[in-house]
Amino acid sequence: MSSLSASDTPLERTTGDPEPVAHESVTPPAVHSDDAAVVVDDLHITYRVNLERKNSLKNALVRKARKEKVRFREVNAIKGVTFDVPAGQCTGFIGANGAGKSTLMRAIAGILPPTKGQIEVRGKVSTLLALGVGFNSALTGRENVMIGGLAAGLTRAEVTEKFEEIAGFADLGDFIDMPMRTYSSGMFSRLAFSVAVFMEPDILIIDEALSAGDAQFKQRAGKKMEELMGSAGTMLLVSHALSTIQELSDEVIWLHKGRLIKRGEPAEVCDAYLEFLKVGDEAIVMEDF
Amino acid sequence: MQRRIYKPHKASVPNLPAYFSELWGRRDFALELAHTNLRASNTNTVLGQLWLVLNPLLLAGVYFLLVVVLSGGSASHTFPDIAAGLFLFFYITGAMQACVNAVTNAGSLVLNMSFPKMLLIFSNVYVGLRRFLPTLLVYLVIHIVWGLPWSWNMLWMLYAIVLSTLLGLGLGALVATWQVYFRDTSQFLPYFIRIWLYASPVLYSAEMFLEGPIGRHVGQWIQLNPVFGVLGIWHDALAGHMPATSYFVGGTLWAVALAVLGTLYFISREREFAVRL
Repeated sequence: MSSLSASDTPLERTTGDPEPVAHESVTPPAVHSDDAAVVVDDLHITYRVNLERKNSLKNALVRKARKEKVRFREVNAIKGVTFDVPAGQCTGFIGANGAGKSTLMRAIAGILPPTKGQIEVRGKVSTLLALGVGFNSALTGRENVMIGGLAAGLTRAEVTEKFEEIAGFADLGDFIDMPMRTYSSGMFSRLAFSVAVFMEPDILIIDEALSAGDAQFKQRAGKKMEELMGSAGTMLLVSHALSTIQELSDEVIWLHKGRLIKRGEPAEVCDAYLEFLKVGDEAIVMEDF
Repeated sequence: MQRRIYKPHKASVPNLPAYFSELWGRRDFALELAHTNLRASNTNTVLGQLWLVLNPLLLAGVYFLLVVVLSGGSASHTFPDIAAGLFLFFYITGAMQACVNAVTNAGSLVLNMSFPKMLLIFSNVYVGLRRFLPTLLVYLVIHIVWGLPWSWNMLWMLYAIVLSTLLGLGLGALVATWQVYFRDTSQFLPYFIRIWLYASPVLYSAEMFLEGPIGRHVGQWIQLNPVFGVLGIWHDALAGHMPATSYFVGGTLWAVALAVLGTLYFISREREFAVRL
């Protein structure tokens, strides 16, 4: 299939700025630690993006008839990453857009297959990659709590048992029995967040899903997150909100264009990242919007 | 403690016992997805159910008018025959049509949750079954109204329904996979189904295909149609006969083969879905 490639150079977001240099803290460990919750070993993930407007049989046949090549480019989202995530602590992931953070989280969750290398996960994983997965807006909040909980891997009995707690946390009042299309977007994310955090995973993966609802709800959500960290043990957290990352993480890993740059103390890694971005430690980049 | 290792793969089938045990563990989710689907499309309301029944019934009327009344066709293929054949055929193709968008419409699920994707196929086949059951009751009413005889052989209908479920599952898994690669599969599907309907012993009996003028060009090849055996069993059972052995052999072989091949094809591709959506 590679002969079909329109261009052999992989697609990349090049800004012309100097690239960061990998720090010695990310040198691959010779032996992986036995008590690690996640072991990532020389992981590569390559996507093939189709440049056709529409990916259809009609297009494919027309191109074949005209003896044209199918146009696509490759994206090397993760380029040879090796690291352990220690059990029982929160590891934060930072990096510019397109650094491969979400790809890495999806790979650890078993959603995206590795192109090369392997990932070993020890424990039950729950993901909070997007809010409201599986929700159907034609149905009531109550029905969606069930579908969302089952989608997240709970059993029917578990969802029923936790329902009062979930509904209480979302605090939607009578709206819980209304179709979700009548919800405001804030109410939607309140319910989705509530469903997502009432799980009992060994390893919790969170990707930018922390900002839900109004100030009051955010505060409660923050508390719930701390509680979850206590029970989940291991947490992988992706966020652009550096203050949240510094607050919650025990260790931070900085990714850049699919490679590890630095890992270590949250404050230290965040500073190095900010210095690289040349934006300075202003409140605007620290805050979670 | 649960321990998982994710490795690169190229169109390979994962550890099947582990895959199916995880699928079984998630059966509540599959059922809930199907119920959500049914509730959202009002299938559980009286009018919704009525429409599910009325639509195939009207179609049966139209085809009866076309192939029996207007073309002066044989009196051997009656309205109950056409209605029963259509209902079963629409069960199989309805499951396919429910499945074709199963993966592409579940984008956020596929991208954000790790689960055996066959769950989506099972869920949609179940939706098809739930839509088929009311039409089965309608057929029984027609059977009574036409004063047709009852026989223990009618229990073979259940076997035909099982085989149809397997056919719907296998073909549904195939078209759902193709839809991921070629997004116009769902647009071609209705034409394919229409042609398939005319080439199947639904509007005409199997005997009319094998011996009558309608099958002049097709001849014995008609027996290679995957639904030939199932519909043979179905019609024989409804007429109170013991279905012919050839129907059992052909019908069972096709149903099992398509279910196994469709499922394996789908499973071997499913980890690529997240990249393709």
